Amino acid sequence: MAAQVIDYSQTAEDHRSLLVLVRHTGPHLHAECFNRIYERISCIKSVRVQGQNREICVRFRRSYSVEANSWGEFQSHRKVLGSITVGKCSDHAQFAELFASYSRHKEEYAASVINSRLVAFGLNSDGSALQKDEVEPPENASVHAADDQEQAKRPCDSGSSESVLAVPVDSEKQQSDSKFQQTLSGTRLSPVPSSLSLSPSPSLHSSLPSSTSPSPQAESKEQPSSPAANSRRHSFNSQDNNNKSKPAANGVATTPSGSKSPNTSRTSASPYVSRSNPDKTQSRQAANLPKESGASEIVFYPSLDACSDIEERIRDFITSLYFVLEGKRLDRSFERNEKSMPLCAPFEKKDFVGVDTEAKSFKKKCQGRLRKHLGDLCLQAATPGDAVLHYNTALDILRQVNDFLWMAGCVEGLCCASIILSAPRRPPSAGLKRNLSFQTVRGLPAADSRIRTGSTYTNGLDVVPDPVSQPILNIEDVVEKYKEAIQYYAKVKAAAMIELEASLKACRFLITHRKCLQASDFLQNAVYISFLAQEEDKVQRNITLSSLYNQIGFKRKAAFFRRVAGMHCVSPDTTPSWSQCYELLLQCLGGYGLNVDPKDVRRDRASGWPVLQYRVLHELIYSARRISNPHIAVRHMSLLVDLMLPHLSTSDQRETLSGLSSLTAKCMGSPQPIVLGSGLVLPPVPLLSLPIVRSFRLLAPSPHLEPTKLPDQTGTGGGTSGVFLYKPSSLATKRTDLSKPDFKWTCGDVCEASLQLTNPLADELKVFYMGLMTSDLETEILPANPNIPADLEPMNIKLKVKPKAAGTLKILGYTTVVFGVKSNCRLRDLRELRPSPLTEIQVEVIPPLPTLTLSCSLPKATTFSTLGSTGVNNDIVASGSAALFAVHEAISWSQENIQAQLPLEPGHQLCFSLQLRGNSDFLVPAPETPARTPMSHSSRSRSDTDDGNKEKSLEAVLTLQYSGGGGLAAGYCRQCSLALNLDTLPSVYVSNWTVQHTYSAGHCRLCLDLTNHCGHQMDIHYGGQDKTTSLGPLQTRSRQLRLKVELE
Amino acid sequence: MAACVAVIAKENYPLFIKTIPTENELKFYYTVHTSLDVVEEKISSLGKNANDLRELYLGLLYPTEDYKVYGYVTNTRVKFVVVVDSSNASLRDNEIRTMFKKLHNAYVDMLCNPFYKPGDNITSKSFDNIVVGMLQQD
Repeated sequence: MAAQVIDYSQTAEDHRSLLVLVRHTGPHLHAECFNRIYERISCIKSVRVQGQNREICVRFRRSYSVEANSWGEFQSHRKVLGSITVGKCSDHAQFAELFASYSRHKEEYAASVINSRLVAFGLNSDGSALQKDEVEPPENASVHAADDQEQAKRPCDSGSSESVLAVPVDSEKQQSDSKFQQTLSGTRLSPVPSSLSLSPSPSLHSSLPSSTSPSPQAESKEQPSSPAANSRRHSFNSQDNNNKSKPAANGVATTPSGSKSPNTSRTSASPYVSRSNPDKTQSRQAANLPKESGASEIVFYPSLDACSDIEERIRDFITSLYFVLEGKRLDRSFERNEKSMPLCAPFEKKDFVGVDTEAKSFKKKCQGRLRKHLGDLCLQAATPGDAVLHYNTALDILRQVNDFLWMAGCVEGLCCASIILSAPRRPPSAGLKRNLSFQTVRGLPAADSRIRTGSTYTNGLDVVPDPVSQPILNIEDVVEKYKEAIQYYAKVKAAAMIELEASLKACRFLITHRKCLQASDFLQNAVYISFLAQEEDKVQRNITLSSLYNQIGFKRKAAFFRRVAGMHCVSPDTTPSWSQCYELLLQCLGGYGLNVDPKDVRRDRASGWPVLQYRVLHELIYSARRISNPHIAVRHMSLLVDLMLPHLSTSDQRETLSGLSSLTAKCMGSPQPIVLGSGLVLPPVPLLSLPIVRSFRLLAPSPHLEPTKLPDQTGTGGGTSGVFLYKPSSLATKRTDLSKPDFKWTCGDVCEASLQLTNPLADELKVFYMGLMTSDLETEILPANPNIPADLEPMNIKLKVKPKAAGTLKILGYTTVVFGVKSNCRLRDLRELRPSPLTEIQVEVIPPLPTLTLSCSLPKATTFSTLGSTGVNNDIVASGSAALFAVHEAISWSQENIQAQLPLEPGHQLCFSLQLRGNSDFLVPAPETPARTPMSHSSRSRSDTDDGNKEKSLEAVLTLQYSGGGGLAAGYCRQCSLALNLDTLPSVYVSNWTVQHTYSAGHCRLCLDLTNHCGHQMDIHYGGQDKTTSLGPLQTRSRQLRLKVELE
Repeated sequence: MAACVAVIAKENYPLFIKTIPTENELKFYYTVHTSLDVVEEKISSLGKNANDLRELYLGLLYPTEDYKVYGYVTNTRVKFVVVVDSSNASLRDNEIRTMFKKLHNAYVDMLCNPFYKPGDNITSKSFDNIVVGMLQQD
């Protein structure tokens, strides 16, 4: 992460935090390891100072620009106070490198850093190389430390603030604290110097062979020197000893065991400080004492897993920072008159060159700014109440000289202090703390009582929390103050970044109080603060704005700024980062009512704003193309087509679709979800509207192939129908339930679904592939590739599928390939489907059944009127027609012949002959028939002949039911029918008949006039076998038959 | 006078947008679109005491660099947004109010058309004329 000048994530609460830089150094430490360490360290948000009711907040940063650091004088929370360098080394040479880079790091921020640490991994906790001789490393370490200490004095052992304070005195390097240090050394107001020599000594002298019980020894060494310091300031002693705080020297002096022990025990109890090789180092240290402090800056750990106390170390480190700050704060409040130069913001430095330092306004400036700085320090030292006082005073002073920038700083400080004061604080666990201090104050209960009596306000170390007397600004006032501050900031061009940050801070504050409109005002202001910034910075700024807008619920604004940020990512004057741009554009979709998942986008007009949606999607596609991931681009293009098609003009449609085609030419659109690097899943976008499916219906197999249930062999009969012939409920559902058709498909047969398609485009729509999408059963898809003309007339097509197993087949939808995009269109997603959307269609597939081809040697019947059209018996597969001369007995076949040929093997045929005979009664059509005798039944004609037409027509259906294979086992059969059209031609008619009496009573003679109506010669046998006559066509002859009539 | 006039349906999709520098139409689309955030926020903050007679005029929604965006919400939650050039100092709050009043009347007249289905895009010529008049005035 590059260091940025502007911290977009700042909050008002950050004003009270101490900034600590944590840096990675050396090539030996893996970046991931550093991240782990950093995460552990940055878990520490605040540190409670032992014995005091102070909670010190801390902010860790990995990088911080020097420029930002230079604003530290203006607002001290911008100052890097501590520096922690993390590195790894395995031997001394590497350690030397490490140390050198550590020193460089310190140097970089030398202007502000108070204390620093080097955390070195890879060496034993005593600084020795792992599994090597343990003599050298500590020496090296201490040597380096000793070398280093000359230039980087200030650091010292953890928590021992006195040593830290001591540094400036003998160090030549004067930093931003120069005035303060002058004060220290010059006036000797603070007791610190006395402890200078002391504080290192406990830690270093205590380099005992074993560091188990260091404190007594340390104290014993301290005691002799302490009285000198002690004598100076008695006033401090009373509480210091217990508070064990910054001017700890006093504590040491008065209550050696009590106050000092926390420090010393902390330092020495942690055995990781590099002083493990006592025999060797002691002599050196003794020589260097009391200044030797560099060694304590270094913390060794063998490995990442063996640094369990690192948090504790960091806490100590933070505490040490706090004590320095506290010292500065207190010191400042004592004298502020001897300033020659005022504190100034980085751009102001040159303004004060050659200014009359004696002028009243100049002095006021110095005074006011110092006050303000004091307020900052109070905030950091967790005494916001004091801060309010200081800020108010500073503001009064600065107003007189119109020092706008610093006035703004004061006002902003006031706001922050108020916010911090009003923020809910955790109740301090006072009881526990006191117990802790009791433990440390060994055998000196008297000290405890003295704390309370001796607590004064001036030293700020009182146990009593901040004075409540300070009026805390309420929310409205804070907003007003912020507005005022921003107004002042706006007058100073160079402070634009401060103004921006203040706006963001105010906004964040208002967000927590749910004042959305007011927050948006501040954001709006932040938008228009202009300053020169890198593109990267602009991106960051827009992203921040966007996320803040998001927090106040302004989704559209948030989306807008995300988009702008995305545009900045690829602005021409930087190295474009298309992937970042793509990510940002992706995030802004929501604000425009879009989503990568087409199912989540509202299709009704309410989503609205198609103009903007089209635009945003286009930009998204463009950026996706530029990150050279054509899959993503195709996916988004499909989304664009799917969503926007109804809103586009014809020319836009053509443009979009040709764009889609050109994208898919390189990379076909797939129906699989795409997972982005960020973990976001781009679900597939089926092109449901290309073409639009209006109806989707499964077709029953054609009647001759439709399986029917075999009659139940067990004889129970009825089956499912039960005792009731009519069930109203089942009838009602049958009609509507499209998802469960009442027919069955047969495995291995080609089954069909009928679809009605509409083309929404202005051009012909070529569907390259269209097939059914099924599940649960293995199927063979037989695709279609319809071309749908441009008119809006629906077009019907059939999609075919061949099931390959028996069971329940689910039809989920259909698959298309249109414009190179393969889409799985599920029924449940089809919005245009009538009737209401189905989720799936379940059809039962039965095991395979044989198929018979039925053919007839007779010529095909041309007309088959009666049966075919009624639909009752439409399984007719073959037909035959024959014209027959009337004889008796119509149709017959030989059962034995058929049985003999069964079973029928596959591919074989079964032939049987059907005997067809014309069936007629040989009577002349009715009207002409004279009914001579009432007993004659034959006078009633059953002939179908029309008047005049003497032919008789007969239609017959021969139905075959057959089954076999798995279908038979499942109890299904097929049936097919042969339609027969028989025309019975008249052969011979009895045109006239008479009964003649014979001589015998028992006989009569029947005289018939027979007419031959066919066109052929006809032989008629009559009267037994012996009489034969021949009849030519249309000949009529009379023949006599002797009949025996038996009458009673 | 006004640079852009927009009528937005209750469900926040545009019924009608007209801008005067037509070449920069998209920019105004973005402006009007983002202004809906503020409109919604204002409505929801007012909505708590729904029984009160609500002031239809929402006032300045937000200023941009070159323009000021004003809002107005009818009782049926149809939103009118007017974007005004911020350099035009002569426009007072009162003028903006009368502008909205006029727009509202035109909208109501348009709505009286029995062939207009509420929620459809506004295609009425007379409404368009009135808006054009507002855009071009002076």
